[in-house]
Order: sequence, then C-alpha cells, then structure tokens
Amino acid sequence: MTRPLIQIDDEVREMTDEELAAYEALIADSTTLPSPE
Amino acid sequence: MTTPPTFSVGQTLTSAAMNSVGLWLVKSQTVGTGVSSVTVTGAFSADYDNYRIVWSGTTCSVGDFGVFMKIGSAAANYYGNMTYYKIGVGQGFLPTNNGASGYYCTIQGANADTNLVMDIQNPYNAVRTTSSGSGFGWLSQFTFSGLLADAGSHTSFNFTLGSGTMTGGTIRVYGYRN
Repeated sequence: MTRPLIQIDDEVREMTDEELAAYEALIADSTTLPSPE
Repeated sequence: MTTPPTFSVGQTLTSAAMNSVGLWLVKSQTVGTGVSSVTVTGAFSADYDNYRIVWSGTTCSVGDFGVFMKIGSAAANYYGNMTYYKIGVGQGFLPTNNGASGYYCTIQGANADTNLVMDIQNPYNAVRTTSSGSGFGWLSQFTFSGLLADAGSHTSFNFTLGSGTMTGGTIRVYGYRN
C-alpha cells in the first residue's frame, strides 16, 4: 500500500516511518468538524 | 521624490524608501498534488519578528476537517483553539491542550477553498511563538489562536490535513518589517 505523500518545499515523497507515525497519531485524534449541540 | 508606496517611473529607490516597505514577500510555495502534509522551509529568520501567512486556492479530497499547523520541528507544547460557525448548523470549537500534532488553524475545503490568513509572532526568536488567524472554508467561518510554548528558534512550518489529501493552491509568507 502506498504511504501518504508529504511535501517539503517542492519535493514530494512518501512519508518516512517517523513521519508516518506522527501522521497516524494526528489523524487518530482528528474528526470531521463536530456538529454543535 | 514621491513617498512610498507610490513610486514614479525611473525613480531611484533609495534605502530610506525601501526600508520603509512594511511587508515583504519572503516565500511563495505552490502546494503539490495529492499530498497530506506540506512543509514550508526557510520561512522564518532573524530578518523579521512577525510574519503574515496567506494560504489560498487549495482543494482537499474531503472537506469539513480541521487542518493542523506545526512550527519547526516542535513535537509538543502546542496550545490553541479554533472556533467556528458552520452555516445552517451552529457553532463549535476545537481546542488543543499541550498537543503534539500542532493546533487547528483552518478548515479543509474541497472546492479550491481551503484558505487562511494568519499572523505569527516570534517563530525565529528564542521565545514562545504565538499566532492567530481567520477565514471561511467549506461553509464554515472560523478563527483560531495558537501558542507554541517553547523557546525554540524555528525556520519552517507545516500544515497537515486531518483527513485525505490536498492539491494546488499557494502558501505565501510575508515578513513585517521590524
């Protein structure tokens, strides 16, 4: 499976193991904007 | 001699005139295709204390998620809050309390409408970095403020999507003259 792409200035490449771990931790806490009560 | 910002054709641009320019384009970065995260390097330096960042025209594969901002290589001590009003739905907020992934700074838009206008203070100086901004993305108005509670000196920043990928648009960084 292809890893997510990270862009650093004009370079676009797949995330490294460390970057992927940080990214997965981020999206684990991310949800669509919660609808207010 | 005319007074800046009005210049006449053929006029010699003196140091006094140029030094009175209050906002200077530091960097312009085009967002690539299908990326989940974009880092802009060489954005902050000793030249300026404060910066404006303008992000516009990016299309995300999915809308309605928050976008995280990180500063330099800092991986902790992020505090912030993004409040939003989703049209026809109501208001809400997305706080960050000592986060490791940055803080929410804008909302993903899926129709070339991911955008942000923000100011950031002292990212390069060895003091805490503060920021604030606002915009309107994917049928939500939002404002955010954030704090990076470290004393590091940072030269770059990063936007990472809460979900999916992004394509196109431009991130521009301007320095406010000290």
